[in-house]
Amino acid sequence: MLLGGRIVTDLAAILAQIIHSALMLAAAPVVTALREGFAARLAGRTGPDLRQPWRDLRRLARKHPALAETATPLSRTAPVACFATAVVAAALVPSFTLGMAFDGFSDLLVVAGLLATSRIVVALAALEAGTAPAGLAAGRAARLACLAEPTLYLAILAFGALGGTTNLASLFWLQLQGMLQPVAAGILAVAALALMALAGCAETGLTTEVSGADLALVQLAEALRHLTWLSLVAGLLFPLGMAEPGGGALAWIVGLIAWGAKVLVATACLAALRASFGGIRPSRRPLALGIAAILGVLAAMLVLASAVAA
Amino acid sequence: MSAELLALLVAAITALLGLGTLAAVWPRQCVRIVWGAAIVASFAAMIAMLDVLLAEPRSTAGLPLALAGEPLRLAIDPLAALFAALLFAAGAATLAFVAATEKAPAATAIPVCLGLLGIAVLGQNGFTQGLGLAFAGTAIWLSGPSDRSGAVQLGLGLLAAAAIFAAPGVPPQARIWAVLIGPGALAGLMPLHRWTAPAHCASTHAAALLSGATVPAALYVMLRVLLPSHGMVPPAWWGLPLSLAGAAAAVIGGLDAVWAPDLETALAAGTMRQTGLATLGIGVALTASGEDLPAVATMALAAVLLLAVLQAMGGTLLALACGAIRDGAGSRRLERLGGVVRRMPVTTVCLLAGLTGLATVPASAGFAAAWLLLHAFLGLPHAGSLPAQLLRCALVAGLGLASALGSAGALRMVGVACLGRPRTPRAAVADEPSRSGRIVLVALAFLATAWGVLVGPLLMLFAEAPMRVLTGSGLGPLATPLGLAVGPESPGYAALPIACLVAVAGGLVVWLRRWLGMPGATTSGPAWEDGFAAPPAWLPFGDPGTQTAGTDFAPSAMRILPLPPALVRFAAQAYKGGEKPSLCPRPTPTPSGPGPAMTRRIANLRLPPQGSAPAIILVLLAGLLILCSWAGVS
Repeated sequence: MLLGGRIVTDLAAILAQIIHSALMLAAAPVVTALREGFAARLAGRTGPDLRQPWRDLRRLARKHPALAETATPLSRTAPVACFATAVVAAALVPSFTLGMAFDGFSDLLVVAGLLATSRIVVALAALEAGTAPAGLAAGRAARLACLAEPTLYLAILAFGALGGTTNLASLFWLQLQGMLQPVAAGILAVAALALMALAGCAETGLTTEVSGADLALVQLAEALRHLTWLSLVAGLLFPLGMAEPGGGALAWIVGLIAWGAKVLVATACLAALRASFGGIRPSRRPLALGIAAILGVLAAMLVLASAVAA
Repeated sequence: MSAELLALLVAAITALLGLGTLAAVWPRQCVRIVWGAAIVASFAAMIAMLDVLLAEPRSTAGLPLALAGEPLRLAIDPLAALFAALLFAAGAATLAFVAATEKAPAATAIPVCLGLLGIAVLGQNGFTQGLGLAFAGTAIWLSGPSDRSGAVQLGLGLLAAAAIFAAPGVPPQARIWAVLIGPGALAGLMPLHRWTAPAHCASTHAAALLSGATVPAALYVMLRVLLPSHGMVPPAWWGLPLSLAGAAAAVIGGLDAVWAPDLETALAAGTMRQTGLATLGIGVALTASGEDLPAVATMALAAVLLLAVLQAMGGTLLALACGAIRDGAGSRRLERLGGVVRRMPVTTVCLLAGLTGLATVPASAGFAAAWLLLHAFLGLPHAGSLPAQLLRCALVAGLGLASALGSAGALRMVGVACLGRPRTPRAAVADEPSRSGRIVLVALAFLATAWGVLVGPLLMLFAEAPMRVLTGSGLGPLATPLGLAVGPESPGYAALPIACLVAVAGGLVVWLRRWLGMPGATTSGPAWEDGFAAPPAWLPFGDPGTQTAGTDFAPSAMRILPLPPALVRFAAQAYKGGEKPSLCPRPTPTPSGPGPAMTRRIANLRLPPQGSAPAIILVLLAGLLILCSWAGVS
């Protein structure tokens, strides 16, 4: 009986993992369309159809990639590697339920590292083309990563000190139980992560050097990185509605609806913030990331100071 | 058993020293035999060390060689065996590569330096260790670095450190400073890195020895001198200077690597970054053992061992690959390279593998080390004064910055030197090293990658016994078959599953693309330059000026420090950003031409120039004085 129950739990974990991965893949371009739609609405235009990114991807997938004369097999490998790392990162961040098959591997530093790797690989492909704009974009991406990474480590320090673990699934579960105390520290650390998303850390702007089916992969990877970051911020800040390990189908449906609502609200908030600031210009990004770093320091200090008080 | 092994090792070390001397004076035809023998000797030494590491729990054997009253003692235990194995592996790879690629290998310093480093690692007392390091530093210097005055200062520092380790009356507090000026300087730590960095530019083998063999040996001496294996518990404050020096070296090494104008300068800076991370690990371990947190100390020390092994594999690989690119493409300057990958695919892929291993990319060994260091910081007690906690935040931010800079430096080194268009006609006709040279590169790349992916099982296999020597207890639950974990039940970092998942996802994409019949690449043409005019006919590889030379891959120091107050601004101005000058000298014509062969050979020995004679005499005098005073004390 015990063995049977365990098999059922394992099967449910694998099923949840498959549903989650498929959901992230399917939803990523839709969220991109949503973001553009919100931005367009705020600017007084009608946005694109929600299915438009998928149509674009399908159109691109039918095209021959055109390569630069200087291209080597690396140019064909890089989009695949970029997509593979992004999709693994997306699979590791729980969306609608906990207790998925890969929950044990979903370390915060691993997820952040996979997302960074996905960006670096595109930058390599851009440098391969040897053009001026691609080189400039690669340098910009590297500079931005240098500014973002200290904040990320500080946020991980804060969450690790709050929850005693850096495993994302455990952190989500602890937050769901209200055990990440003090709450203010968690909010500050999440704010630092959200500010990084706002400053465009998931975007590379390096898609000019790939084309055709490869461009489809790179664009899908970029959408996945954005959605993963949103999902991570939403889960760390407000995991309400997420199904707990061993939850049934009903809990999953509730979790799916809650996750959709959270992503919708987060996208709307990001779009509103961008519209009200007029976006963050590339030259102002270091300032935004500097503020994120200070938020990270504050979060870590708050955790450590509250530990002294306790 | 271990006494025989020790005798074998001493024989191997003596053979290396003798072979190096022979190679300097023998005619060219015999040099190859000498090299073969040296490779065999170092390989045998490595195998013997692995045997100790895997088979014997703890054994010490002494070799009484009286020198000035105290025996010059050699001994093996598992920790020494691990580092000696690393040393001889890196040395064997360097010897094999140089012998395979250079037509007339004249680098007689390698076997000598290897033997001396072997003495440093097998030395039982601080004096033997320091003396070995000092002579090894001198051997590297003899192989011809550009900045001889720096080498002299380094030799002095090492000798002074050896004297401090040896002298019985010196207070134990002196050890920490002696470590920073002696082995720390040799490994390239922050304030003293100017002494060693120029030697990276001298030759491929000097760079390979400095990053692959010297750094692990120096780290070993630091571990031996600082950790409580001498029966003395180090005070907790010892962790502070080490952590600060380590974090500073990691960040500044990373920045220098991103701004370096040529391959070797970037390599020297990258080595400094790795040493900095390892020193940060030693500092955290000392703090943790001072706070009586053995699990945290184990975590930090595991990171140090990981980084040492990685440096022996990856550091050697990078130095050899950079040497291959320099020799094959005719320049070390990034602005004269580019597009090397089409003519040197194997070297480029190996370089990429080595850089990935060192960078903080998931499933690489560098990532595992960063993960362990971050968790060691998490494990330190939360209670403490506000300045201490702020300092911890600063160190963690420095760790993050160093890892981002490592990725940026790796991207720049591969992207600018190997990818893109050739910037000069010479780079367009670059040549791969010989077949045996490529085999060495591929083997090192394989080892560096495997060390990252199989980090858990390999740590269990190779680091358990050394860790027992260091802390008295083994790794505990730290290493798991899948990767690393903080506690027995907590999910940790699963390197192997992550690597498998990425590989499966990539494979699925490739398979799906074939299965769906998506079109492959059939068209290729000139890259779109955003509407710039096509280059003229006399620029067959396009306008070199439109291709990035990688001068903007890191923000300037002012931007890294957010909202800088006056003090920070002052510090940032003292360390200005922007392109660094090359550390490498202009090539000087090698003395050749008519004349007796013996004269040429002596000229090729590269005796120090006239100007440095006073400095050499000073070093010798200082060494003699130290020896005499110490003999008088004991």
